[in-house]
Amino acid sequence: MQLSHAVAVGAAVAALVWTFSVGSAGSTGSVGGAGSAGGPGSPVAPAAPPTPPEPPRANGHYVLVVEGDRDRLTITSANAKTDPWAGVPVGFASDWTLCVRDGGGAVLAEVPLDLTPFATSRAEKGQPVQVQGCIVRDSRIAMLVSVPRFDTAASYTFSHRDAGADRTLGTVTGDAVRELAGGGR
Amino acid sequence: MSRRSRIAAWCGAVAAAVLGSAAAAPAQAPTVTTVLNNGPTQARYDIVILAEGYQAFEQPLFNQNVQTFLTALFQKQPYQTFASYYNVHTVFRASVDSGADHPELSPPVYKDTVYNASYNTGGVVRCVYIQNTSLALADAALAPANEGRVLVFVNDPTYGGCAATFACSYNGSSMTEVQIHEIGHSLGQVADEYDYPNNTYTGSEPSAVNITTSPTGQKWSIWHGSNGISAFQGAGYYLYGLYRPRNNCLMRTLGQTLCSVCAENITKLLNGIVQTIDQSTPAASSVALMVPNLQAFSISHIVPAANNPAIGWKLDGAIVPGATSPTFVLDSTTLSQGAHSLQVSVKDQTAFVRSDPANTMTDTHTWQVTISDPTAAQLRVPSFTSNLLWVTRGSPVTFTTEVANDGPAAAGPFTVEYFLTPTTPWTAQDIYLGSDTVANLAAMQTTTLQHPVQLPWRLLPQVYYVYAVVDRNDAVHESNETDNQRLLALIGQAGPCVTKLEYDDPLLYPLDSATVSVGAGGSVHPTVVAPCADPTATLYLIAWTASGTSPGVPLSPTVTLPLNPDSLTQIGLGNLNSPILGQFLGILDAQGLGHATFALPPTSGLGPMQTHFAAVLLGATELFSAATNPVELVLGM
Repeated sequence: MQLSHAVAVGAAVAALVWTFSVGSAGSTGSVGGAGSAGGPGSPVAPAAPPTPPEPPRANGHYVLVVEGDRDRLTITSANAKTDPWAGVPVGFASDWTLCVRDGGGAVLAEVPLDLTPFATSRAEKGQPVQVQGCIVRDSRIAMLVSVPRFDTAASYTFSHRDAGADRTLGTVTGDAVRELAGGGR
Repeated sequence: MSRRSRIAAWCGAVAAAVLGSAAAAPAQAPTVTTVLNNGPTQARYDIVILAEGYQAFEQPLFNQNVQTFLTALFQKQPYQTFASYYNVHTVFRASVDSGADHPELSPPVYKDTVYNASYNTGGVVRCVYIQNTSLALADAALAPANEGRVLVFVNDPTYGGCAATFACSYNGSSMTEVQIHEIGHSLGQVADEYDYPNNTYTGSEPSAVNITTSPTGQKWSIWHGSNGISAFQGAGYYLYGLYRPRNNCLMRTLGQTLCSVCAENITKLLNGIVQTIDQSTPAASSVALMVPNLQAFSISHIVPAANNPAIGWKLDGAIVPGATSPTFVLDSTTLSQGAHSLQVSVKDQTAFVRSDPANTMTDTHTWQVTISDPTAAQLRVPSFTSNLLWVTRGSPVTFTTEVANDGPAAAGPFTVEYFLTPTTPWTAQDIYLGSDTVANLAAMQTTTLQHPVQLPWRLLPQVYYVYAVVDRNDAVHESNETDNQRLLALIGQAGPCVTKLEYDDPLLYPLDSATVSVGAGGSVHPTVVAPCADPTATLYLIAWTASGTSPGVPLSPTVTLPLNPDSLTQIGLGNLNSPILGQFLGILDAQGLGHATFALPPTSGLGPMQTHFAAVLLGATELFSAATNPVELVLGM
């Protein structure tokens, strides 16, 4: 404490002692406020929480025959099956996909396609069948694809993610697939 | 079912198919037959076999070819171990002619067959492959299910085979070996290991698991030293520059077993498709469980016992120690209310697989379990708002707090408390802003509280957070005790020049007018707030009285200390900064705060007594520059 502070303190305390010694004892002060404030409001009915949309349910699966080449794919046959779709094999991924959407554009399923048996490079397109050893490589794609079957499916779109960009290879309407499956078992 | 009994069952199915199809199937119409049924299609590997170049009368021959092939297939590893993982479906469509095209012959021979199989595909004489893939796929699609790859038996005695989407083989004496080799390509995705017709490979590293440019076979190093695995030069149609795992393998020479590297890949691809957990109980994936009930969960699986299947259970992602049986009993009383996940896994520890980064050898099943307690409430704070964002010291602010009870039981009474803190999260030591009490909140009801407060005088110009905390002491039994709070932010600004005295102690409100009690051994912390005073030229002094606050003592024409002096005042002034009256005389800090401590000794002997503190500022130029409000202290309670 600085000297000036010390002098001030001494003077102040002396003054207070003198002041208080001549003052009279006052009445007891009022008690301070309570420790709590506010109160409960009136109960009101809670707002109904928004119900999340029911996820689409697959109704068995389709076995599709998919044909074309690296630039264009389409569905040439469809068979409806009552057994559930088996799903994507564990660990399998592909840049080639078939996306099933509903009428609002929501994705119902995205199924990676196994095009490893086919010649899918740009240079191989249109080339005749190549055989090495006993392995056949054909640039014409013809394959089976199993997908979950949704009653609300509106489109089936083939895509290829190539150098970071998606190429659309073809879209088939849900109605067309249902029609193709009309003769299926 | 044993392998013998499965084959017997399959023979019966074939016989039934033969008898049935001969009578009912129209010419050229395909006949679909499931010849091996080991379970639901979505959980098994479904092999589809097409007949090519068989006339109608040759359907028994096709069926015999299928039987011969399956018998051979399931005698060869790894197919033998996993024989129960397969379903097999055949599709027979009769051809006009028997056999396949032979364009390599002179003169060429052409046959009228359903899928138009031809030798010399791609200029390789032995490569017999189908040309009408559209019809073949459409026929294969008639089978109950498939895995995208299809086997084709070509009714031709000339040696040949080839593979892509279709694994084709002739049906002569080496049919089974050729076909198992071809499905090594199509189902197992392994490469040929024979080393002709090329000389030296100079390309990049092949993607197939069983051939490599590495002379040490680094790709399959995990198998080195086992089952003859090393690195042998000559593979993938090249005599030099490509290496294979074993000296010989079915992918190199017919009649051989599959090497460990090929068998591992086939096993993993198979298990990536097959669901080995066959049945689960409860069957529903969502289970509601009431406290205090128990619920048993169980599974059955098809992993061969010889593969030492390892069962494990996880509750909310955490392994349950010691839970390794197919049945697990969940005790609802050990879980919090709400959603939980229970997952069982079955890991196939077969010796065929040593590296499985994708976890193809593990199948899992998950139940979503919702625990509910009819006696529990569920309080939460859906919203918490303030009528002001920018605030100053001492500001009156009103908070609006919505409290909901989502539980099935009523809650109450309980408190909603408010804490002010410059940092998150809050603690009970933070500045207390009072509480509300809710007497009762019925199930599925919401209440809205208006909570007016006066912010502390020592508020600084910085960001603060206010927490609304419901039922801090867990007086209400809730299904979830972790969602009982919500916070909002306030931005403190420079405020008015005031001189105040308030307490800096937890759980006191209002800070400048609370009824504060201190018992023997206890302490409180009166704090002088003088933000506009010059801390370099101002002292504070806290005085004490048991005689009330009014009318107080005039210290100067403009300053009245709100205390009525008495003997306690004299004692206090005589013992400033003693252990009892710590820092009752002191220097303000940089924020204009003076922090004091009143500590009542354990043996003070003081009975219940209502006292007050008030402070005065002592200036260098003006002795008494300001006085504070009084604060109350009850001793001896």
